[in-house]
Amino acid sequence: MKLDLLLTMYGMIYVKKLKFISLFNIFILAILCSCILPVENSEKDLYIQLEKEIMCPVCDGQTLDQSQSLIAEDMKNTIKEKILQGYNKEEVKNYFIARYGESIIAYPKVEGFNIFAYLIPILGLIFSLLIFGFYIRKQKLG
Amino acid sequence: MEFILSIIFLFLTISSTIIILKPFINRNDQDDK
Amino acid sequence: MNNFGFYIMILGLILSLHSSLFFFLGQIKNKKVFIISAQKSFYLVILMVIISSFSLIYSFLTNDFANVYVANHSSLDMNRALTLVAFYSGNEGSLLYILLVHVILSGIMYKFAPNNIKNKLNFSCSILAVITSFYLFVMIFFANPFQISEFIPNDGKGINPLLRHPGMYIHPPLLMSGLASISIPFVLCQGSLFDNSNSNQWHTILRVWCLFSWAVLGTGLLIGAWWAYTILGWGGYWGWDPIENVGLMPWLVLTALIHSIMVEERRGIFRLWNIILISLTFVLALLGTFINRGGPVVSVHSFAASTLGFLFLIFMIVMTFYSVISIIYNYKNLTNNENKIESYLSREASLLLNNILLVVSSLIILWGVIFPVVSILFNDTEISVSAPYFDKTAGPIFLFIIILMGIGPILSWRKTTKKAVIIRLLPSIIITTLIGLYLYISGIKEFFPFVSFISIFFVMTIIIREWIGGTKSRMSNSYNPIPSFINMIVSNRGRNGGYVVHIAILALAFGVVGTKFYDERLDVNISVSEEIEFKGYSILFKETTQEFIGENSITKAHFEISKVSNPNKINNITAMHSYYPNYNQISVRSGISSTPVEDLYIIPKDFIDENNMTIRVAINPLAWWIWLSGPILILGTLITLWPNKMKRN
Repeated sequence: MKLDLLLTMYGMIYVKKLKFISLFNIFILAILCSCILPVENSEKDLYIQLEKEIMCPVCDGQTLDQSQSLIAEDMKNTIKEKILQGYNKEEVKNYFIARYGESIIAYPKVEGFNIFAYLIPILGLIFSLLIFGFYIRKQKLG
Repeated sequence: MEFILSIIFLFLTISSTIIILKPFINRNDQDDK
Repeated sequence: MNNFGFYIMILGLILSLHSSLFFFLGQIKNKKVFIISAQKSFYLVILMVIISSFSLIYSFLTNDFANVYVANHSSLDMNRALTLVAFYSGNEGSLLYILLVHVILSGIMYKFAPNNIKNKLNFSCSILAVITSFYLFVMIFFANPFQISEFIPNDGKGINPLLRHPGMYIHPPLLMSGLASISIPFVLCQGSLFDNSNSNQWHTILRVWCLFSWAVLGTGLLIGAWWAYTILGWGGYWGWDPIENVGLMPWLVLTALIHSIMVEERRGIFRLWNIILISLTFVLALLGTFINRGGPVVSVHSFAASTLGFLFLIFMIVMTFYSVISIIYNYKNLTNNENKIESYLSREASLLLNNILLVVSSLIILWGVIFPVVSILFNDTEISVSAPYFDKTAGPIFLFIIILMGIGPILSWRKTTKKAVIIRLLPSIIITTLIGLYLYISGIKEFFPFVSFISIFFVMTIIIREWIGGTKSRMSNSYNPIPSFINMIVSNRGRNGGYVVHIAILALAFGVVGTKFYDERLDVNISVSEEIEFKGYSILFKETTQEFIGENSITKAHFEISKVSNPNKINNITAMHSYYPNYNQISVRSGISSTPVEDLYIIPKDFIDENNMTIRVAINPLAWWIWLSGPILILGTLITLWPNKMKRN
């Protein structure tokens, strides 16, 4: 049936016994997984990617990408230099970390306590969806 | 200028006081809910 | 004049304290005379705040540099129209501005409240007066806009150069108004909470003020993004800066509330949830004022005043406690045991899910904003949480919400059969699949943007089908669809206004996905008369010019832009650096050539000399749609708010 074909194209397998809610859950999981997949277009220039991930140390919370101060421009030039010298993404970041500390990177590293930066949102989302499911079920039965 | 402003201020203060106290003065004519 | 303004504020404080006390006492002791007196002072406060505001404006217009605030935020060379901007651009003035908005909105709400509600508003007005008193207290003792200095400078410091742009006339006042206006639906909800007769009369007034607040705040956020894009010139429009986030968080929860109020109106459920939502919105807005004024998080937006932060923190904590206690106290009134959610496939369930996603997204953003502070407690090193984090965590949830925006409206109240769902969705699914194929073949292959685009088209096709169906059913006589279409919109303004707003959100999402995933950048040196090619554009660097305005110098670079495929159509754009020696600041303005397909964006990086410069050329696909969403959003809100003649009692 056309319906089967259509749903297959979305990567979902339509089995008549599966309830809608399970399909929805699969779709939810797919979207959640997309957070983990590397989303950046790797064809994009490395220095552009780095500018978005490195903070300007004196610019009140702006990334290099957002800031046009002299220091930010300097650092952008440094990034380009390092790339020309053959540094890869990690090495450039480490170069800046060595000079400015962890806070030069625009997002928390997934290690130690900072895992909670990511864990809490994911758990929070799953938890709230579970509560939603249980609440509706309780309402239906009550 | 400052003199005029102080008069205006005095006027505002006195009239505000009168306005907010007036309901209490008229109280005896009104029923409480 | 400065003393005058200050003493008027003191008079205002006395009046607002009177108002809050007597509204409260009048309500609990059932004394009408207290209420009447409180009403008088309630309106008198508005007069006092207006007079104070005019005093400050007068000081600006007369260049009264004895006033410290005026001296710090204006100068002799400043255009008079910028005076209004200067009024709210600094810490003290912005407090007065927020207070002005607060009291005016309070007055309007009370004056135009329907009579059957008015005598239930005593408690609400008391709270409004408490808020007024707080702001006056803070200004009188800690942040006085009428502070006089003994030494009178010859000239003021002038206004921050970044603020000299039309966007500055609109963005901060609108945003501050939006945040300030949240107190109105908050106190109205509080009023309905304590109104034991449990009547449905509150729904209309609540919905109107929620929508108003939401629209003002949303427009403020959008204009801020537009301003960042066109004026700050870094090529983006949203930095996930803490202050931006602090405006976004309450807006997301307010969006949830607008939807769940519909459920309460329709089925009488979610009453507890709605109170929680508005309390959360209000507390988030107060959190915003705390962070904005000397809070612990760094931002380009914040005013620098640390003691003030402490006061707002206390106020926020007090109001949080108050909200919790008032909910617990009235708990029995809030739980409706009669109506229930009967199915997952129902409008109620989908709106509840929409709510959950919106609240979760808001809380995730909150977590990201405070995480640097939390992390310090457990680690030695400071960390930053900025755009990459928020994009990854909030982005997918927003995508969810968009998808739900399509599915929700086609579900019926209480219950929809699976068959009905399939029938209603199937044509849209088919069309969307075709569009998806086309997109994939055209090169849109990455997972997230692909899913985002097809979701946007999916929702759009659903709305279009609804409208086609609705228009057709009214087209019995004429062949002209337009009057039938308008007739359809007008006959159900709530629903169709909502659809228009959804379209605005789709346009916004469309632009966001385009600019986030498909932007292109090129850094290049260019000389006068040189022409470069980038992504199908020819860019010719014509010349640099220099202007002097007072002490400020502006260096402009002029470009001619044309498409390689159409060299005759030439667009002139200018990119510039402005230097303000008084502030030792350079502001950058980029040249933009915009079409619905994409923006060509030239950022002047470095003026090397008269004939050479470094530029960054950016292609921002679909950016135009982001700005288009603003007017559509406002239109949709107006349609929804347009009063129904029959319902006006």
